Amino acid sequence: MKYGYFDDSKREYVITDPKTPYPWINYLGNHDFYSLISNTAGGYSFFKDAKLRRITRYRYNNIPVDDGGKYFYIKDENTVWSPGWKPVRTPLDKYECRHGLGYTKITGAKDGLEAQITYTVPLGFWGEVQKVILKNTSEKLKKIQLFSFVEWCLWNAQDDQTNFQRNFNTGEVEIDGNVIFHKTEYRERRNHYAFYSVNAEIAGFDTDKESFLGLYNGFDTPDAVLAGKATNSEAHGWSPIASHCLEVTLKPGDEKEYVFILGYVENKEEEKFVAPKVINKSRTNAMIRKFPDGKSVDLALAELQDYWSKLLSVYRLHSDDEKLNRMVNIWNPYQCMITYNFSRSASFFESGIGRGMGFRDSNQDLIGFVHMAPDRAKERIIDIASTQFEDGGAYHQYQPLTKRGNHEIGGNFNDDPLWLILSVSEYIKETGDWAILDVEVPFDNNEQNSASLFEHLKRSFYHVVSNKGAHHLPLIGRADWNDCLNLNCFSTNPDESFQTTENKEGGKAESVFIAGMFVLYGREFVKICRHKGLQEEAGLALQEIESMELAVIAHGWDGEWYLRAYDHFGRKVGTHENKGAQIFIEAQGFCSMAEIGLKKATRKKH
Amino acid sequence: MLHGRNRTEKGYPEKALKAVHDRLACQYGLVLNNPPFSKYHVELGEISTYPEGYKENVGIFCHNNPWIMIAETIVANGDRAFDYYKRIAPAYLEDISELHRTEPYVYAQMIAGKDAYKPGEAKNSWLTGTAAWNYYAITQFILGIRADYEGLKIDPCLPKDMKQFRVTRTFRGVTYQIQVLNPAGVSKGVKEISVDGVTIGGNLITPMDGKEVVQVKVLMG
Repeated sequence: MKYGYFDDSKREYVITDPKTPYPWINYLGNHDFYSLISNTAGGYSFFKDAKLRRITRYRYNNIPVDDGGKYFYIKDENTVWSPGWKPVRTPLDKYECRHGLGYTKITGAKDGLEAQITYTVPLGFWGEVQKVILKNTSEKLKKIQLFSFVEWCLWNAQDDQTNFQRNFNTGEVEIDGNVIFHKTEYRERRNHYAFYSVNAEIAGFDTDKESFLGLYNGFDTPDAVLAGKATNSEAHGWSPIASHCLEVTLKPGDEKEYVFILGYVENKEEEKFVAPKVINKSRTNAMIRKFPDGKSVDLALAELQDYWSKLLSVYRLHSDDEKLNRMVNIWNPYQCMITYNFSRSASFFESGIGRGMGFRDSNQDLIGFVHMAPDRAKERIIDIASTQFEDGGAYHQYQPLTKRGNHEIGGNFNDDPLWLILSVSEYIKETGDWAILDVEVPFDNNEQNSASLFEHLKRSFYHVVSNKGAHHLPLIGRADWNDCLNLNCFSTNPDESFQTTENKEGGKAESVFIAGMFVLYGREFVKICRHKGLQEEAGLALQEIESMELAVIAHGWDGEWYLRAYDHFGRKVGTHENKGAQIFIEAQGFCSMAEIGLKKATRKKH
Repeated sequence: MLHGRNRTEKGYPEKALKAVHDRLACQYGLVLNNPPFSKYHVELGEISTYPEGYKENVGIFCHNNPWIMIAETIVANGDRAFDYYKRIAPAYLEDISELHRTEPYVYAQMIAGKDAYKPGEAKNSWLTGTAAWNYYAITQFILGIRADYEGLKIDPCLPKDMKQFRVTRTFRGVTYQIQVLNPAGVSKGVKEISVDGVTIGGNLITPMDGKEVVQVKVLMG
C-alpha cells in the first residue's frame, strides 16, 4: 500500500495521507542552521550542534508519536484545524505534503479554506522561513484566526529534558511588535538568542506555554486557539513558546500570503544589549528584511533548487527503469548529502544528544558525496585524520564543534584506521588532487606533532600489520565494523557499555573482516605509493598484503565461506561447527571484494 | 605444496557468495548472519543481546548489503547484484509501505530479517552508511561508471535484461555523455569504447585537454 507518490519532475515525494506508517521526514538546511520536519509538521531546529544549540524543543518517543513541531492552527468559526492534520487532527477535505530537496510544502484544506505552508532554510541563512498562503475557495466571506506555534528549547537539549529544578526558572522572552524573542541565558554566558517573526500585524501573541495551551491540554487543544484569542502572555520561567495570532479576513477567491521566520542570532559580548534588559535586534531586523514577502521566499527556493541541480548534475542516469533513475538521480545522493551534514546526530531515531562524528562512519559517508562536494570532502578528510593517533590508531568518534577526539569512547576499534585509506583514495580518484597527500596533518589534534597525510595512511596500514594475533590475522580490538561483536569484552554487568568497557587482558580475538579490508584497501595504499614513486614502500606493503591473503586462506576459510573471527580463546566465530551464527555477511563481503582466493577466470564470466 | 596462482585460486569468493545467497538472502534483503543467536553469549557480546531477526542478530543491516552487490559484480553476476540492490532500495519498496513503515525515498539502517517477529519492517531511516555504500555500488560497480586514479573507468556489471542506459558524468571538469549498449544481454565485459567517435583500447578514458563535453559510446558483449 502506498501513502503517496514520487513526483520526479519536481524531485519531490508527495504524501497524500497524513497517517503514514511512521512519521516521514525531511531535512532543511545545508550549513549551520538545520531543521527536521515530518509530513505533519513535527520536528525541531538547531544551530550546528543538535545537542548544544537546540532551538526548538522536541520530545522523542512521545505520545502520540511525533507531537511537537512548527504548527499552525486555524480557527474558522467553530472549527479548529491544522494544515498538516496534526496536532489538531481534524479531518481535512484535502491534505498533501511535498518533501523536496531542502524544503517541505504542506497543504491542507477545510470548509472552503486552503492553507499552504512552505518550510525552508535558505542558503546561507541562519533561520527557517515559512511561507504561508491562505486562500478562500468558498463563496462566502471568511473571518478566521491563524495561530503560529513553536516551543523553545533551553539550548542544551540534554539539560532541557533533565534539569527541571533549574530550567523551570530560567526562561526569558522579549516581545517587540510582531517579533518574539527567546533569550534564556542570554543575560549571562550565551552570545545567542532566537526569534520568531511574521511580516504582518498581529492581533495578539503568547510566549508562555501554559497560558497558550492550558496546563492539562495537549498540542491538539490549545485554550487560546479554542477561544480564538491570544492571551498576550509573557513567559517567566516554565516553558517559553512563541505564538502569533493573526486575524485574517478573506473575500471569496481571496488569497493572502505571510512570511514567518524562525531565526538564530549571535552577538558579540559588547553588542549584546542596547539598554538594560533590551537585547540588540539589529541582526534580527536585517534577517527579517531579507524576506519581506512571498516573492523573496520563492527566490530563495529557486536558488536552493539551483544549488541541488548543480550537485545532482555530476552523475545523471537515464535508464528504462524509473525507480532506478529516481534513486540514482535524486533520493540516494540527497540522502548522502544529508548523511554528510548530520553524520549520525539527529534523526527521528537519533536524538541529537548522543553521538559525535564517527571516524569509521565519516570516512564511509564520504564515498557517497565526494563527487558532489570535493572541497567539503577534503576538509572532512583532514578533520578526521587530525584525530588519528601517532601509532595509526584512532578515536572512534570526534566532536563536530571542537573537531577533537572523544576521550570517553576512546579507540581500539581496529578497523577504524583502514577506512581513512578508503576515503583518501576515493577522493584522489575523483579529483586527481594528489597534493592532498602532502598536507601536514596533526596527530591527536596536536599541531606540534604532525606528518603528511600520506604518512597518516602509512600509519593506518601498519597499525594492522603491528596488531596481529595467533593466526596472523588482525586483532579486532573492542570491535570492528560490527560494533556489537565484542569478542574481548566479557560483560556481565547490564550497567556498562559493550563498546567502551575495558577489554579482557590481552585482547586476543582476531577479525577476518579486517583482514579482507586490509587486503582491499592495502592495494590502494600500494597504488598510492607507486604513484609517488615509492617503489620500495610499495613492495614492502605488497608483501604484507600477500601474507594477509595467505593467512586468510590458511586460517580464515570454513569450507564454504569465510570465517568471521577468532574469539578470545582462539575458537572460530562464523563456522558451520557452531550452532548459532554459522555465517556472517561482513567477511563474505570484504574478503570477496578483496578477491582473496578468487579464480581469475571468474571475473570475465558473462 | 602448490605455488603461485594455484596456491591462491581456490574459488573462495565464488563459493562464499553462493553461501550468502543460500543462507543470508531473503525477500527483504541479506541478513547479517545465520542462524540467529537465541541466548546471550558473553564471549561474543552485544550481538547476542538482540532478539532474533533484529539489528546485528540476523537483521538486514542495509549498510553491508552493497558489499555483496559489489562482490557479485567482481564475479560478473550482474543479475544477482541488481536483484540484491532492488530488494532494499526504498523506491522499489513503495508498494509495501505499510510493512516497511519508514520513508519510501530514503534507506533505513535496518530491516527486520527473516527470523524476526515482523520480517520486512524497517527502522532507523536517514542517517546510515547505507546511503553512501548503495550509491557507490549502483553507480560505480553495477552501472560501472567509476572514477579511477588515471581517468574514468567504464566497467558495468548489469542484469542481463538491461539493454541500454545513458549516464552524464562530470569528472575533473569534463562532461562525459556516456551511452552504454548491451544488445547481446551480457552481464559484464566491455567490447568496445569510442570517445568522440574514436575507438580506444581498454576501458579507461583518460583526461583530454581542451574538451568540455565528450561523447562516449560503450558496447558490451
